Amino acid sequence: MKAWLKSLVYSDDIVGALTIFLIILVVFFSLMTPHFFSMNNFYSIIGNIPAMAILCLGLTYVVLVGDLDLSLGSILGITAILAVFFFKVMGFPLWLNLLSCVFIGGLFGALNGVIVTKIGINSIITTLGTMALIRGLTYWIAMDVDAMQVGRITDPAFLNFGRYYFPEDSRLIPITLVYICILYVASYIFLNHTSFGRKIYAVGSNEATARLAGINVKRVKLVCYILAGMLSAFGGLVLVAQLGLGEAYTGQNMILEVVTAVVLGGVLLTGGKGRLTGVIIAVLILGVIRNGMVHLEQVTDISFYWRDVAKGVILLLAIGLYSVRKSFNAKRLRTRQ
Amino acid sequence: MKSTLLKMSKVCKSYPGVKAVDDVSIDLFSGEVLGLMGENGAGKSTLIKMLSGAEVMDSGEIFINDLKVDVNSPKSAQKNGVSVIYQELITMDTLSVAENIFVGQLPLNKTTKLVDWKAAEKKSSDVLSLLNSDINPKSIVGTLSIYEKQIVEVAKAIHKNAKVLIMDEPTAALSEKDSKSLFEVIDRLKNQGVGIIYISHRLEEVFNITDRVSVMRDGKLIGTKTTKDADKKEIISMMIGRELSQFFPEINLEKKGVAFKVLDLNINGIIENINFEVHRGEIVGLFGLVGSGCLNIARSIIGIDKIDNGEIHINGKKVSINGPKDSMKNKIGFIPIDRKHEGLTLDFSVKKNLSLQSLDGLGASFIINNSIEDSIAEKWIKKLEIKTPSVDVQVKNLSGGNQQKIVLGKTLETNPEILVVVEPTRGVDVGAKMDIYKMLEDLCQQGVAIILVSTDIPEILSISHRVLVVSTGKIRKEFKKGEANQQDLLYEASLN
Amino acid sequence: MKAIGFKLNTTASLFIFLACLIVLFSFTSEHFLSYYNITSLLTNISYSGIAAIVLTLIIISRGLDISIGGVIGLTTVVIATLYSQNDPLPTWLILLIGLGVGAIVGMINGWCITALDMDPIITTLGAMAITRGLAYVISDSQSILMFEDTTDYISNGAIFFIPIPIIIFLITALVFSILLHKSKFGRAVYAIGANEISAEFSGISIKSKKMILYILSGIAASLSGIILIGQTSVGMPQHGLGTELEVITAVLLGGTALSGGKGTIYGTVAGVLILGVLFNGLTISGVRYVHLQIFQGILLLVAVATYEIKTRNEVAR
Repeated sequence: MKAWLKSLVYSDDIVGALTIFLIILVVFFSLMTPHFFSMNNFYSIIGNIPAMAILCLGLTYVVLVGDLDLSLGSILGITAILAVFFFKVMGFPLWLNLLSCVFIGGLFGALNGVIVTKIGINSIITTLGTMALIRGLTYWIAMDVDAMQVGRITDPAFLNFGRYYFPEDSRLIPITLVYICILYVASYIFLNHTSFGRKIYAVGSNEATARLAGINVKRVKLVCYILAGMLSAFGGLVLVAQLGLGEAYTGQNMILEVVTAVVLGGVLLTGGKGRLTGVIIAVLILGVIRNGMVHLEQVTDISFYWRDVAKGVILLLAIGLYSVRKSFNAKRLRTRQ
Repeated sequence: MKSTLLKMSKVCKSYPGVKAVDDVSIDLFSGEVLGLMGENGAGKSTLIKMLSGAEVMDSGEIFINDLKVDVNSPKSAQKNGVSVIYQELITMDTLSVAENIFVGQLPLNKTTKLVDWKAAEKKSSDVLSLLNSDINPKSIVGTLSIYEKQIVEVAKAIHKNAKVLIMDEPTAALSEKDSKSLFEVIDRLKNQGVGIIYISHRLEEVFNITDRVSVMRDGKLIGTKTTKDADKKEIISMMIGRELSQFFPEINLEKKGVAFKVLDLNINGIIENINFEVHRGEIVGLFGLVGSGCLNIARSIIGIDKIDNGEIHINGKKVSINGPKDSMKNKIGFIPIDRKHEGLTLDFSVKKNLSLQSLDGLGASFIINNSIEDSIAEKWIKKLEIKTPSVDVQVKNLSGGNQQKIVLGKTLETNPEILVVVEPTRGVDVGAKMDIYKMLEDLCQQGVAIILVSTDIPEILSISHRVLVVSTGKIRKEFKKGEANQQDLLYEASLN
Repeated sequence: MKAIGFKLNTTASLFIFLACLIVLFSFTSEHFLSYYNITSLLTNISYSGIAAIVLTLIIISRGLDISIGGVIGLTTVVIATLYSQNDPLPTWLILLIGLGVGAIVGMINGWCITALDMDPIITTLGAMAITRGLAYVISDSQSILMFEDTTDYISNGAIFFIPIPIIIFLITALVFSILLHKSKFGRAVYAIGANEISAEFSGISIKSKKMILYILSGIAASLSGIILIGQTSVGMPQHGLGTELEVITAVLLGGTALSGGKGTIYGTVAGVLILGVLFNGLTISGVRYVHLQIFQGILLLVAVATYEIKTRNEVAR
């Protein structure tokens, strides 16, 4: 009995539970609506998740190290605008556009990281501030530059960045899926099999002990923030390519869903624990819910806006479960004094 | 042939007002276990802190393998082969055993530069089997028992080539079986040539496991004896040394009725079958060393530690206590062990601290009646002779003795009939001590039933009308006033 | 910058800064000191100020409430929806229900945070999502017009030329000032924020105090929503977007520390006024809204950084 309790608190079994939940959701929506269970729809679902998935990956880095970054949606937004700007006004080719945006994303990430590590402000307040700051910059750029008024991109090369399918004829695999796979697999290897990646987990698990062991905690955290920024920028580019559109409000409300997915995916808010598999399944779960509710609305009277409510409820349930586990554990660790 | 592994020579460390370590010289041979004993405040922790890099010594030298070393940070201590296993374990609970052992220095595959998990696991297993342990290196540390976590810490220390291992009360939280396993581990370490400094209050253990014992008292090294030639009572008298002076007030007991009774108190795995009663105007002392369970008993009385079984009776009636509010309702007062973090709100003023437990009494309406608050502050400043420039000074700026008095005043303002006092004079200067004792005496005369938890042996022996010795969660023996001397008390508490 | 920072340590310095701002803006724009602008400014301040006052107590107790904006949106939608029914309920009842919305959200927040010991930030983040989502559901993402006398009066009316919202704000500030600085409840709130363990040992019931605070915060947000309806004559789910950042910035600017145990109502009032005057003055001097947003972010960071560095210097001494 005790062993079972222990494993419930510390195990990684969340992936199994999440997968089951995902399957239940798919079954539910397939039964309730006529068009959910179709190849077309699945492609639609997968088409909606890339930006989210990439942002979640970025947030995971920061949460693993024990902090929170609320500015990722804003970094995505400014990237969207800049991408259009670089393309239309500066005439950058795609590769230069990509490089510049990711670099700028990294800069903003570094801004967050420096404020948190060097000045020592709480990460939530810091990223709340940079979230507003960057969003404001975004609107400023969007309004000040004439070409930005219509943020459309029609260049096929650019659009292919987000819309291309493999192979040419049968159009089976969207390129965005490839991006997700590459980024997640690379992150998986980085986080689980490199020395630095394990240092990230160490810092998140017990910062004081990590410092004692000679790990440069500030540097580790800074890298995580920079990675989060770079990934958010990349996600912004993918989104612009997919939509063919980059507006000042892009990504404005994303951060809540990103946090929900990361928490749902089993990444511990206090840091040091979390599996990418869980995150990606959580992203899928939220994507399925979003898509499914649209279908549900067509068949029933249930407004598809319930999906935002559902997301909030899921976040609360996930964090509530975590709190219950925490109190279980506290009881277990009583000692004689 | 044993070589001198560690030599600490004429080490001194002072804090404002107190010489924590006074010209102490000890040495440690490789492959030996040196016990370090002494009462609370004797200087053991400070001495160890200077060795582990947590503190820097004022003067003195440290030699490791005859080479002088500078230990001014935990990192430099580690580099010089010194590792500490603290009582509060600092494991990374979300990571595996292997990762904890290799934190920051995971073995890498030469070509790919990726983590070589197989090597990490193998090396971990090697180190663990050296310690006679079969813990799976892949296990997440958070799922392990306290003993297993300690083994992981030891393994980590060994892996970092610790030559000197300091263990601070390692068996405090362990069962008998696990303690035995730990001793076997220590034997193996000895065979590896590791030198171990073993801090413990437990006589039996120290006599079982150590080769030599050093005893400290009041910051000085009293002496070092070879264990097999030493006598337990001799060690204890070395620890105590000073005469019981007429330092303490004689508190006369006029036995009145039973105010407070505890029946079969049980917290699974922590305390067992605790039964005792306290009369009005009586002081019952609970004496136990680190890990004995005394603190748990005190905390369960006011509802901070949840009881699994048992009853509390006040004036003959059973009461249920689920938290500090309940205990206050039942007229139980509590002086917690940690005045800074549990007893006081450091940023608040003297006045505000004194009134914090009696907010309801500060006037009939929801507004605080300032004159009532002022009078409360004045009352206790006078009664307890609290020395403070003004009532509005922040409590964190006062001395330990005055801080303790404020905790006392805050609690006494609620007019408790039963008072649980934990370590009332720890870190308190002599003058304040006397004032506190005087207050306890007054309370007795008023008929308050007092439960005193203290590891200050002269104090508990002199003030209490009866002393209950607690060890490994049970009450072992009761001494009436005058039945035991200091050695007896410590001896009883050090058994088991 | 550091010199200005060290000056910000007393509320007096904040008010001096405020006075400087007012003088500055009266020069940069001829309209700044007009009656119309001042009333507009004061009304806007009241809108966020009421929530800021209550948030001060929450932050002092070491908590946080990010759900303010969502509650505002939901409240406006609920009220407008109820009003636009055939044969609607009496207005006073509708408004009461509106306040009830905030109270219920606050109760749920409070329960999660106290009974389940959930992290306040994530909890109120989730509450924000849920309330915002519900607002969209109920309104079906439409704006609901509400031309109504009472709310119009509350937001646009005046007594002796003083706009009613500012009267509400001042009353709130006064009430909570007494509550925080002079009452037993307020003392308990400070104690909880400064050292929760000691507060518990002193017999203070942490859970009930926190619960009350979160309920009050919800009600305050609803009240802000009511003022907003009167101002805009419409209930829509987008109402309140971004308000939480404004409110948090005002509270932190006023000297309340996130770590708890410190803060005053007058500090918050100063913070609210400074923020309001700053935005109003800049806008009326021709600065564009987007620049204001940037400014808000910078202001938050600078304010918190300044207090942080100051505290660190104090401790080091």
